[in-house]
Amino acid sequence: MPTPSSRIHEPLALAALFAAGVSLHLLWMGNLLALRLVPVGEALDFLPSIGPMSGLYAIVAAAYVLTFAVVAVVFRGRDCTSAREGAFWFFVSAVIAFAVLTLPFVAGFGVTA
Amino acid sequence: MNPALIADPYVVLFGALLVLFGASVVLAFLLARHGDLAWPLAAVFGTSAVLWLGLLTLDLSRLAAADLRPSAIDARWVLFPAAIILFGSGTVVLWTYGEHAAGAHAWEYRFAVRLIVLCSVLALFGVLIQPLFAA
Repeated sequence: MPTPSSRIHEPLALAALFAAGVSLHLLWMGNLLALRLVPVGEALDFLPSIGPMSGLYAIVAAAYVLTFAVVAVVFRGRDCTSAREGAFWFFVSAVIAFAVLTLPFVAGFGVTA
Repeated sequence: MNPALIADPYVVLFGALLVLFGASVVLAFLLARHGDLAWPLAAVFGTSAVLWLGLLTLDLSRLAAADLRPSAIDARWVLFPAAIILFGSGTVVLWTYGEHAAGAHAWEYRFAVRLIVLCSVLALFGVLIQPLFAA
């Protein structure tokens, strides 16, 4: 177990929140696009044995790693106070958007004339 | 040995996640007063992320064993990565902040941790009830 330290590596926490927000936004967008547009679903079919979610998982994983690395590097050694609240609300908005827009009856909603 | 006596790994993983959810609720709400609880909560979150990965692997291997292949993405398949992302991020936040998570300046991170706990149980029940709504 780590020993208590007075130093907080906040850029890592900030990067984790921001990367989670970006990944959740990508997840609901990918889900919605793949559901509505057949070419998108086909383009995401990286591994035929798994199906279109293989592409979505790969893109989301890559986006998480990339966002985490970029934010952690940008804020390394800097005061994160000003960015903390922004990253937090971005994360909350991503959670809410994901929760609402992946509900089957919302994502599958359609209007017929 | 009677196969019926062997526990289904899916049920075992769900049961373990429910137990960890109970632990994380208590720890997340005590975090504001006892910063030391950040370490056990980080361990609970990390274990939950691994268990969610296990659930996803088990689901995919069952499909492969049945020679089935999902033709489309549905809510079930996005709940797994979402839970893994949330628990993974929560682990990083708690590991980074440690006992400082009880500080007044860290309310955003404490709120995020509580949101992750809430989302985890919603995702768990989402995965459970999703087949009822599948086309």
